[in-house]
Amino acid sequence: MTPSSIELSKINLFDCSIDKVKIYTVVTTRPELNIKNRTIVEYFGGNEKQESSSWTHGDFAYNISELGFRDSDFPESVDIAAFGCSYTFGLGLPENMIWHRKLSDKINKSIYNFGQPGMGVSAIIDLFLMLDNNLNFKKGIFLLPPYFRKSVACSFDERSPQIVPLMPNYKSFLEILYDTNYSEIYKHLPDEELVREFKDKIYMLDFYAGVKNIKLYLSSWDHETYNLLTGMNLKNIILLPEWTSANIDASDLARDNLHPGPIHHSSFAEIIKDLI
Amino acid sequence: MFKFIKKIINKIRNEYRYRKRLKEIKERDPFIY
Repeated sequence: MTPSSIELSKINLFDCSIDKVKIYTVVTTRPELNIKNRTIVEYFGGNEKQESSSWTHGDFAYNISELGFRDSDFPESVDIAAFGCSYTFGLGLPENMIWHRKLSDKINKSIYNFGQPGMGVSAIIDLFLMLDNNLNFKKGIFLLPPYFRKSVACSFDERSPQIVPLMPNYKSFLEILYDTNYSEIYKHLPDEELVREFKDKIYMLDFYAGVKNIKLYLSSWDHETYNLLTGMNLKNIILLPEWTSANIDASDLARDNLHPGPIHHSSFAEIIKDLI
Repeated sequence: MFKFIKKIINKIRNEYRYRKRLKEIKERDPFIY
């Protein structure tokens, strides 16, 4: 085993210090962003700069905390914690246009953004478990990516473990460093295995919510993932309405011309505000 | 001979299935990080 594998083996998600969170925040695994302290990142996505000419809502930058979150420094307590992928992180959008901020304004509660771009469901839940041990929050809202999206633990230098996303359309550092063909991984993993991993993790989260008496809410922007959730027998988790693009102009896009735009985020906040 | 042909057909069928699956995954999750 490598030293980073041994370090990883010592981390207990249910009982670990806040400094270990950096291993799981994928934002801090981007070497070119060099996030060691609070950092301002001008453009985030791979082609965001090239696509930004059609963005009409004014300039903005990403203000990233030391731990890799797009929010204030780590708080002592917060009313609600928001978890998810690039949708929650707000890739291509200024902070005031992201769904959690819109929701915070509507219900007058503090909401911290723990969204991490590229994260899969399993890694999002791992991050939640680590944070629940270090932060007081009464409620957690999860906006989940597709169930099949995976993250992989690896190391750039065999000393420091990192969790790196395996994006179906993105050549990650895993491929560069380990000569791994990520397409082959997705091609050969049976759908049944991906569903098994997803539902086991969600049921574990459901059990955890019951044991810890914490209110958790789930939704997804992927229709099939949402369908999987509706078919599950969740006892402690509340299922929110699905993130939808119905009745929203297709031209409502973020600055990267890929993610949904501000109208989508406002609409989701409006739909869920009375359920939280 | 028959076994060999069956093996080739299976390989082609699996490759088709894998490629279809990968295409679907790429379309449903077009994002980068």
